[in-house]
Amino acid sequence: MSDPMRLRWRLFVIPPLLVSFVLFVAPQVAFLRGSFFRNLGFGQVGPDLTLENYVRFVTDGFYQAALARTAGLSLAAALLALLLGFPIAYRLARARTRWRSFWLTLLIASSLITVVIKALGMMILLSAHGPVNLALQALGVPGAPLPLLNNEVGVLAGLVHYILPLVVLTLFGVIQTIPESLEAASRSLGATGWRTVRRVVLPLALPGLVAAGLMGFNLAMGAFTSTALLGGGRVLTLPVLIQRKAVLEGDYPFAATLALVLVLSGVVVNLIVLRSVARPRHLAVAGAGS
Amino acid sequence: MADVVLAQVSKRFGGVAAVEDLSLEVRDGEFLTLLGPSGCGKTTTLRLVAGLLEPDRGRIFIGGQDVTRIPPERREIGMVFQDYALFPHMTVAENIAFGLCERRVPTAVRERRVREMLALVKLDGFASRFPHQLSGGQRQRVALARALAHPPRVLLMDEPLGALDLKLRQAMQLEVSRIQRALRITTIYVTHDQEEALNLSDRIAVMDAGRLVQLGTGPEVYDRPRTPYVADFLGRVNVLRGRVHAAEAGSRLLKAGPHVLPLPATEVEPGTTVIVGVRPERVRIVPAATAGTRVALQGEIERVMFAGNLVRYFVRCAGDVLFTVEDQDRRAPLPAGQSVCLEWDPEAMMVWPAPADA
Repeated sequence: MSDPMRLRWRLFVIPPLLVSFVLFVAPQVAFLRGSFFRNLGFGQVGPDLTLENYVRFVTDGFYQAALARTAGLSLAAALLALLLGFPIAYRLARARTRWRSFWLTLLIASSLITVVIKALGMMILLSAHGPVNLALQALGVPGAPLPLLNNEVGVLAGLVHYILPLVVLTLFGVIQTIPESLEAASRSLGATGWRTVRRVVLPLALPGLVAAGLMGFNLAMGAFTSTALLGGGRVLTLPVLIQRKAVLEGDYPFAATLALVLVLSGVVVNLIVLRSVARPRHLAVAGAGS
Repeated sequence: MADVVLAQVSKRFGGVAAVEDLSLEVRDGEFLTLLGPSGCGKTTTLRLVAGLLEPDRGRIFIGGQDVTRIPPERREIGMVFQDYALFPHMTVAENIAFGLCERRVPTAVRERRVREMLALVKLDGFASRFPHQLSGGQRQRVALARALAHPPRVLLMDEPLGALDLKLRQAMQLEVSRIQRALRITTIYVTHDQEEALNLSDRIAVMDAGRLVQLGTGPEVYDRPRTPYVADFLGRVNVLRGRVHAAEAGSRLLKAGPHVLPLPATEVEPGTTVIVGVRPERVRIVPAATAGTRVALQGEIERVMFAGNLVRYFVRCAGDVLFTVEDQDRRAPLPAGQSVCLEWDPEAMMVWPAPADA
């Protein structure tokens, strides 16, 4: 503590901290604060604190349906991404080094592509005469071509596509920490490959599955671009509604209300999941023992 | 219990041969050690027997059954790994019961079996601990108990004591030996530690570059190593290279540079080039002045090392030959710089044909 170098460095940190605060936190607070005032139109708000925006949200089933739709789609997207991402991450973590770097580079590159480009790509894939529908027709799926765009199917596909690389990267990191010798031991003791995944790999990867799932869920809850593009404006999730209220209708207070509801419901879901998924016993004991 | 047979097994990794045309028979109840330096293919061989790797060529039999294409979970083996590979999310009891659970053994039998195993490895009272709460030696005991619980037909151990310190390793060697003898279970043990191999094994298979160089009991491979490589890997050896000459009465002489030595009464043709070896403990070191007629080598002590139970001399002889001598009698060690005479019985010499290329 008496080290003069440390003291000086702390002082250096203060200006960027202040700038960050002003640039990032202050606007959010100012925006969300607006939700407690009445909208007067044209960006004007009333002078008195009021909860009427929240009353409007609670009493209008339309907005609650939008919240349920947002959460439902996000949950489905997170679960699908885990389901698809786990085998991919597992294969990556157990691949030879050279192939692994190749696929990881590809994965990171794809996750850096802007969502607009990704969504446009998905629109081509999912369109009435796109490759997916052509394949479905070739397979003789009844009803093909199926409507895969401008509905919840399209939005779900877009969300999964958006969060999958990050889910895979997170799971990859966790699976890599599980020694391969544990799997060899399990096999030598009579467990099949699938039983080994069930009894050894999945339990040890559980913290990573929860983390990756929540991260995917949170990203999907806030996703605007892919939802707006692949939903064609017909799938109204909270981010889409927030944009409409704020930009099209100029109703900043209600947009802020929806934003706060979105953030808080996300926080609540995260807390529930984190509390209900018991800490692995060996970690719990480690904590209690120290 | 079962015997293990490898018949002309080969395994390559990306074009590099890890195991080459290996044939080996492990007898029922035998403790066989695969010994060699890292990269000699011993661990690959073990993993082939376990089924964790598939051979490119050849067949593997356990108890007469061809298991070459059978996955590890149906080979009825037990395996102990160098890093223990205990499941960190399971207690000691759950780790030991793992194989029994996979075999749908009833709970009552399972619990009794876990208690038996804990008693066997002397870890009663540790059932509900987690692996991270155990010491290295205790973890290795759990790993051993887990590998033996189901029970397996064959026990495979991959450098199980490699991560332990010397004292603990010696104690665990005794434990492993006691348990293996008590259960009379066929065991294949992989190590690069020649002392460990000699202490534990019924027979030792010395491997080099994916091939089996020699298979035999400890005394066989130590006293009659088939190649200089085996002699050097199991203990120390002094080697000389020279040409065989005929002497009177059918005896043979070795001419190696400036040295002329009598050879033991073995069948070596005059005119051939051979390598001879002699163990440091078989060489007697005597002051040059008192040397008798059985002159072997003259030299000068370059360095004296006190090794506790013996004194080790490094003696520089003519023709740039450096000999190591181990003398158990350490009451009056000779000083460095003294001229000495090295002598040994001809029977102490090991004679190998020299490789043709050099």
